[in-house]
Amino acid sequence: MTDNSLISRREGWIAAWVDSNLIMMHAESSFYLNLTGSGGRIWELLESPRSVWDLCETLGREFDIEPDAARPEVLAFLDQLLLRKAIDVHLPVLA
Amino acid sequence: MTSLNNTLQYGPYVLCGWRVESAIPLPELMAWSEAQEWNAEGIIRIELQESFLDDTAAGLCANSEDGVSLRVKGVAGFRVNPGADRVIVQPEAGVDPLLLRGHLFGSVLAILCYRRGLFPLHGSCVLLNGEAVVFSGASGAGKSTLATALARRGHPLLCDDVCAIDLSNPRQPILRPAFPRVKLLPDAIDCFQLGAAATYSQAAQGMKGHFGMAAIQPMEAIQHPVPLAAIYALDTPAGDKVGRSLLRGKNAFVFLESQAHRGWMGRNLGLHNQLFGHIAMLASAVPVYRLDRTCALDRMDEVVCLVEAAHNAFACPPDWNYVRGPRNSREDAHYDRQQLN
Repeated sequence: MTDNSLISRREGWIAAWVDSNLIMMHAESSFYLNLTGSGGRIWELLESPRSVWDLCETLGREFDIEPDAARPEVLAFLDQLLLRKAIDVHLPVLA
Repeated sequence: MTSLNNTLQYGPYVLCGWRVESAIPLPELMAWSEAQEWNAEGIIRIELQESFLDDTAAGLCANSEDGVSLRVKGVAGFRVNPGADRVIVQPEAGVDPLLLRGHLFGSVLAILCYRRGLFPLHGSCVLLNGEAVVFSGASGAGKSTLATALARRGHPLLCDDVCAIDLSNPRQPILRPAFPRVKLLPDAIDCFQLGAAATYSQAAQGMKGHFGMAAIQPMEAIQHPVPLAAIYALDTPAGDKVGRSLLRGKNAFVFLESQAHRGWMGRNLGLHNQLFGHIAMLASAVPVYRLDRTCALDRMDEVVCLVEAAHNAFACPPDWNYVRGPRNSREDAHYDRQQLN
């Protein structure tokens, strides 16, 4: 996964906020995920596909940190979502 | 084989706001009053039919063209039609009518709730200070016992086992009362001295399946929808602490998910999204408390008082006792003296 990788939600997941938790469920398997903190915000941002760098910039603005500082946590979180088959990672389109 | 009388000769009754007409007597239900048109949202017909299920049918068979079928071996087959306004019952020979009704008011009512867009929460519910309070938890956790203790203090019982919750307004979930009877083990019925108002299943005493269905009297029968104020999560009583603590976020969600009545049926009906949405709405809109309590029955009053105080509910006369009901006879006075000694 690189800064230019395009991230999209995988189909079949539904999500709802309960207090400060974003609870997600994969309808067919009834597999649940519980996202806290900025994790829930990343899922919201992925309503439409975004690049990794775009996510880092947006979160950086919202949480008042440098995008570069956000990158390690964003990548680690996206890896977890990928492992649980919640997102797809698309190769960057070459200009 | 004797033919079954399929005339809808019993009722009309009211159940969760629906008008019920039935070919089998349903004595637990309250009579439908024509003045209740406020909630005449639908009619449910309960019919009898022979041999609509073949002998190999077992468990839940969802989404056939005829609707949802449920076979409970030794009891009956049930089928809910696609419109969820007709239930067909195929009783097995010699079945205990109370046992059959237990499944009708349990699993079949849960199917009706799922199909009609309600959330069936596993629990018992009483009216406290004009609002519904549900005690939920696994079988044997003491939901019905605690609800009965509160009912004996004068707080009307709204339902037992299946709590039908309407989430059409996500910010204000509404409880739809079922009927003011409670399913208890015989020793609890004895403890509450409800024997005269109880009907017992035919299973031999001490055997699995032996239970009683008790009416709580005197009691105001509540039939109108009631705002849901709180849900209490009950574990098996342990320790010596009595208190409550708020479950937040994920913990509230996980508890409610575990107590969706026959949640596996809702999922087998393909209603994952509805179920998930209802649980999330409920966890967001209604406080879910963990209720800690001791297993000592003589400290039940502490638990009852805690719940009453938490909901500013002191509707019962001060001379009521959760076991005895109103203390107004010389016999009761004698009983109280014995307790003091």
